[in-house]
Amino acid sequence: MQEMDKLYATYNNAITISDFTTAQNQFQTMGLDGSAGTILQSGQSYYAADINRNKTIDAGDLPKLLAQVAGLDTLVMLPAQYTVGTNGWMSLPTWNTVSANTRGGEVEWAYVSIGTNNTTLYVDMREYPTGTTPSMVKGFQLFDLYSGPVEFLSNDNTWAQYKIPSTLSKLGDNSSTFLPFIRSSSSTEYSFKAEFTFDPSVDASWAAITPTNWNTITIPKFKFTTGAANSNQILDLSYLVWGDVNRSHSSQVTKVTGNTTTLQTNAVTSLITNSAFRTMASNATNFINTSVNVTSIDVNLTNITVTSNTLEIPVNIDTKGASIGGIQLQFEYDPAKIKFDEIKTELPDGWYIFANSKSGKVKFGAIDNQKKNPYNGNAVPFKLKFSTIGDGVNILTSVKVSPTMDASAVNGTQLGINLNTTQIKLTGYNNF
Amino acid sequence: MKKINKILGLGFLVTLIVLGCSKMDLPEPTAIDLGVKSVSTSIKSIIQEEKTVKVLLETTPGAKYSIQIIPFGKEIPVKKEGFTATDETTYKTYDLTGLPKNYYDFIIIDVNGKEAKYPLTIK
Repeated sequence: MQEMDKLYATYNNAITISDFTTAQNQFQTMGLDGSAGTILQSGQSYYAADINRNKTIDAGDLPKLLAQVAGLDTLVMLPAQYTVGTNGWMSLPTWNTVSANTRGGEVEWAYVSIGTNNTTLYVDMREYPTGTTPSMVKGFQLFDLYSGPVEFLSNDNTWAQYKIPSTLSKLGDNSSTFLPFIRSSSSTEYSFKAEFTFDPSVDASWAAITPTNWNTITIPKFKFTTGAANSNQILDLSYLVWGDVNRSHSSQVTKVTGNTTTLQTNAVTSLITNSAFRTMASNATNFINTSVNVTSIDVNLTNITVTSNTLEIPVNIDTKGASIGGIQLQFEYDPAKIKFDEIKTELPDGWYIFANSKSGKVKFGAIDNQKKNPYNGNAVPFKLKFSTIGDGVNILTSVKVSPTMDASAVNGTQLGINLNTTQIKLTGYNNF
Repeated sequence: MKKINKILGLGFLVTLIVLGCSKMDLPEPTAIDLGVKSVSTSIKSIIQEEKTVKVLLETTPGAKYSIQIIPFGKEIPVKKEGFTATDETTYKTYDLTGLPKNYYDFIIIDVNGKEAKYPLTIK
C-alpha cells in the first residue's frame, strides 16, 4: 500500500533517469525478433519496465517512462473521485516474497542440516500438493529462522532437498520464537514440526518471477494461512513501484547459487542501503549485476552574489573518468523571492534537455538520446537562470538541492553522485 | 477635411520623429564594486559571553564580506552586517540581546560565495 497524498512524490523519487536509461538500453540490445536484451537480469525489472502492460519491452514503454522522468507526465494518477488530503491508501503490486510458508504444526515434516556457510533443508514429499513439484519452489519462509531464496538440489520419493544460504543463527542461540516446534537431534541437525503451504505461481511468489516467465503474471495476489493460537505467523512481502526498473524504491531481488547470494540490481541506492552489499558496492573487484564497476561523479555548486535582477547558477560536473548517458537534478527555491526562467546547456548535440518548474521546484536534466556523445570531463553542462521577484541586490535566500537526483552510465547503470553542498546561498550585493 | 487630417497626421509623425531623436536622460546605473577577491575567509575564533559574541575573522584587505546570524534551519538572518576588510584579521563584537532562546548559525560569506559558519546557542 502507498499513501495517495504522497503518490506523486513517491513516483518522482522512485523513477529517475537511470530507470529510463536501463530500459532504453534493454530495448536497444533486444533482437528484432523480440529476443531478450542484455541489460535486465530479473523478471521484476521487466515487469516494472513494461509501462504499457503489453507483456513485452517495446518502444511504447520508453516515451511514458521518459515523460515521468522529465516531469512532463505521471505514470500513475490519483483517481478522479479522490479528495486530496483525506489520507487515502492505494495498493501496489505485492507478492509473497517466498514460494513456501511454514507455521507451527504437530508433525515433523522437515529437518535441516547446518553446514559451515549454508544449510540443507529437507522437506517431506507428502507436504507437496498435487501440481507442485519441489523444483518449482524458489524461496522458503522457515518459521522466523529464514525467509528468502533457496536453491533446489534434488528430490527422491521421500525428501526434497534445498540449499539455504544461511546458517540459521537463531537455532544456535535459541532466540527463535518457534522453539516449541523445533527439536535438536544433534548440534547440527534440527527437526521442525511445521505445516507447509506452497504457491510457486508468478502471481503469488516474488521468488518465482524470472526473466522468462514475468509476462505470465496476471494480477499479483496470494493467500496465506494463519498460525496456531499464541504462535507468530511470519509474512514476508515484496512490492514493486511501476517504472522503478532498477528497484531503487522497491523490494530487492536476490538470487542464490551455491554459496553465493547475489543482489539483482544496478541501483546504487539499493546497494548502499543494504549493509550486506555495501562492501561489494565499493569493492572494485566485485560487480553487482553490471558490466562495469559502481562508480560516482562529483556535482559541484557554489554560492552566488547577486548583483542584478537576474542570476545564473552554474552546475559543475566532474565525471572522474566515467561517461554519462543521463543525469537529472532537482532544485527547490522560494517562489516568493526568485523565479526560474530557463536552462542553458553546453552538452553536445543529440542530448535531450529537460527542465520543468512548478511550485518552487525545478526538475532538470539531460539524456544522451542518440547514445552517440556521452558526456565526460570536468565542466559546467548546465546553467540555470533565475530572476528575482524584488531587488536582486537586496535578496537573501537559498536554493536547496533535492535528494531526487540520479545519473547513469552509457549502458544505463546507475552512477553515484557526490554533492559538495545541498544548499546554494543567494546573497544580494547590498548585504556586503 | 481630408487636407486637415493629412496635415494633422504629418504633424503627429514629425513629433514622433523629433521625440525619437531627442536625447533621453537615463538614470545612472548603480556602480557595483565587488572589491578585492578574498583569499582567506574563515573564523579564527569565537568567544560567547552570555549574549555578547566576540569574533576574530581571517580576512583579505579590500575584500567584501557579509556576516549573518541565522536561526538554525532558517534562511533569513536575524542580524546581518556587511563590511570591507581593512586588515588580514578583523575583530567584531555582536550584542545578541533581544534574540530569543534558540540555536543559531554565525556565518561569514565572501563575494565569491565561500562561507564559514559556527554554531551559537542563546540560553
